[in-house]
Amino acid sequence: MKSVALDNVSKSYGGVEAVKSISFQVAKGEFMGILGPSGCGKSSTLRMIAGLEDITSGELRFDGVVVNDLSPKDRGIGMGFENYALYQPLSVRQNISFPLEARGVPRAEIGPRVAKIAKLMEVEDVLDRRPYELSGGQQQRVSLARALVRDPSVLLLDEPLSHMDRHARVRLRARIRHIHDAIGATSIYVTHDQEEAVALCDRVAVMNFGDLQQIGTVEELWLKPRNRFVAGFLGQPAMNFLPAVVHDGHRLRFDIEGQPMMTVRQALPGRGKQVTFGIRPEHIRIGGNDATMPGRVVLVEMEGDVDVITIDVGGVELKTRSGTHRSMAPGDAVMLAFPEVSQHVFDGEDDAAPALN
Amino acid sequence: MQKLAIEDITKRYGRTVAVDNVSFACAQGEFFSILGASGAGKSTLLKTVAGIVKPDAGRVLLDGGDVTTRPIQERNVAMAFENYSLYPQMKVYENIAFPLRAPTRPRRLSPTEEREKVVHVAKILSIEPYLDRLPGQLSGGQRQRVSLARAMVREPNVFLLDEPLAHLDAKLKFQTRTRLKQLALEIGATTLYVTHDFREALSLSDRILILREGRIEQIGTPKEIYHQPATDFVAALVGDPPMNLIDGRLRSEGGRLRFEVEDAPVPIVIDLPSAQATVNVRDDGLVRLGCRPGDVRYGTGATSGAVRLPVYAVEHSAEASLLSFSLGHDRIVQAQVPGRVTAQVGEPIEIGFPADRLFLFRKTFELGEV
Repeated sequence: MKSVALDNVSKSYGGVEAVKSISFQVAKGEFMGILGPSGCGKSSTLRMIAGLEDITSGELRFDGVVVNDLSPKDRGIGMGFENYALYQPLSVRQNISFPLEARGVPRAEIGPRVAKIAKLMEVEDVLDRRPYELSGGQQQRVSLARALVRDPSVLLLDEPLSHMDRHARVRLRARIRHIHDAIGATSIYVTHDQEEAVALCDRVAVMNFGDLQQIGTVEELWLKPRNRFVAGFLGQPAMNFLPAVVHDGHRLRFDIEGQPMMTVRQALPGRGKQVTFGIRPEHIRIGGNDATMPGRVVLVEMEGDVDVITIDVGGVELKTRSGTHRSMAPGDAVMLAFPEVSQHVFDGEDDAAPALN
Repeated sequence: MQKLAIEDITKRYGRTVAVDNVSFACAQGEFFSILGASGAGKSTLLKTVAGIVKPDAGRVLLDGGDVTTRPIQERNVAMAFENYSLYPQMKVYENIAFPLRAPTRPRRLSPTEEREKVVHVAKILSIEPYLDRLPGQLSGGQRQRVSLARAMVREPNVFLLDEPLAHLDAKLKFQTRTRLKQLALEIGATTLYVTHDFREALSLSDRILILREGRIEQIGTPKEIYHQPATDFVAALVGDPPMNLIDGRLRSEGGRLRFEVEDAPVPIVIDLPSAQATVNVRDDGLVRLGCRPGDVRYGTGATSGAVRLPVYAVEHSAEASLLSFSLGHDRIVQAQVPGRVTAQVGEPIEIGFPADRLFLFRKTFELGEV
């Protein structure tokens, strides 16, 4: 496995820039996610790394060596797709050994290599079956075995879980992480599902409209989102946003009924400037001594062990999560606290608004 | 009072039984969901209530009156489907207003009254800015909300909603779900809601019917369905991360009841309170143990049935960690732990299954091999 570096990589289709000069590195052995809504450029980025798309400008390097002009075959990529793309007439064993045979690996070497990867993927009991005789999860594992058997330079995964039912998906997700760790793979995982990216990846690159919005560990993205888009994209329910106006250095006035004032730790821009205050549902506290923001429960939605509670605060609806042991009902008056460490303030009102420190 | 009653409905397509002798009743104003996998018969059941599908047996009662043979237009029900079925040549406003102008309406609304109603639902569903556009100019999610608005605008007796949130992305699905619930409460209409998404069913419903291959698996409130799943099937369907289901055998030893897993890498023996019902045991002694990942004890302080297993994989969510352990033979057990746990793969960790958090099921399906 190798390290991967993108250096000002762009992709244009005609006059449309799908990927706008993005740069990041993936260390050897790292599990990197590329996350964003549809059309954000994540799949184009993956396809450029794989060699399935030309790179319009910029440099792509594996272990420091520029690979822009290498064909997909010569880059030595292993790929896992949403559809498993197995050869149905061939047995599982033949599917896995195919890439080795195609490259003229000696027969005596193929057998042990297939056996080894099959054991790791736990498909050794089904080697003589046909793909259609397997469950979706098993097929995906065979597909991964085929991708990994020739010891690729990097493993690229394109939404490999999206066709599975939920019970299988969560378990296969654990398997993918296990396999990555077991072989010390360099993995790049493309998804639109923030929960999947957060679960699996060491670091995540968040994209929107072809731009890299932020790259960081999941904790960094969660606690220190760089702008309003990243803040709102991670988390379910999403971060609550409240419009506000700067009063002075560390005080803002919420642009809601009653126009309550709040002191924040961030240094605020000039008086009268429009900003956005953000707080995650997980971080809002209901009740307690420091709860000073009055609200009224609008709705309680059960999701299992937690309730999602919608609370009207001065005409704006906020969402919080709470254990189901607290019984709350629509109409209940509550007091809320926004703990200082969990407050976010963004300089502006749109997705691009940068976070203030 | 009973608004809607379904009595012994059966529907066959050729030799396939799509709906098999299903009965239930909804109270006035109740939000009632039908939850199941694709092909379970959910949509067929809904269409029977609408009058689009004629059942082979059984009756549909609205307000106590038998409407089984009545056509859809005489039932005062409103439907919204997963596919939006909007009129492409009409603006969004016209599409939403369409049912208000139907000749069967008792009274024609004044243009002001009509606009008020249309704008009201459009606001609730956040599609007010698009009222002057054509459906073709909208995204899939926007079209779906227009379809929903059209169903809701006429304030019918009964709403029939078939996966109305299916095409929305995760964020929008969440928002629209909340709006839908608010709107249903506000109008006080009886709603029959078909979905395959357990979160939608739990969060929206007063009661949930779980349909499995055309038959009722369980009917209950969201709390009952989540906390007292009647079968392993319900347990696997409802909850995230999904409930651990482990097959094993029950043994009675000196008045104590024990659950044992065969062929596990380490012996797994879990003591059960003797009060645990044994009715779910099959003749061959096989039983399926259920424990939600959030209820599995982790690290020191693990209680009954504590086992040491090497960590198979570590994953995270925003504020919790999900640890997986392999029991071999394609079996994975998961524990959800608050905070960010940094366990190494292969590191042995003690986990335990607290006796008061266990379910015993009769095994009714093969666990999919993942």
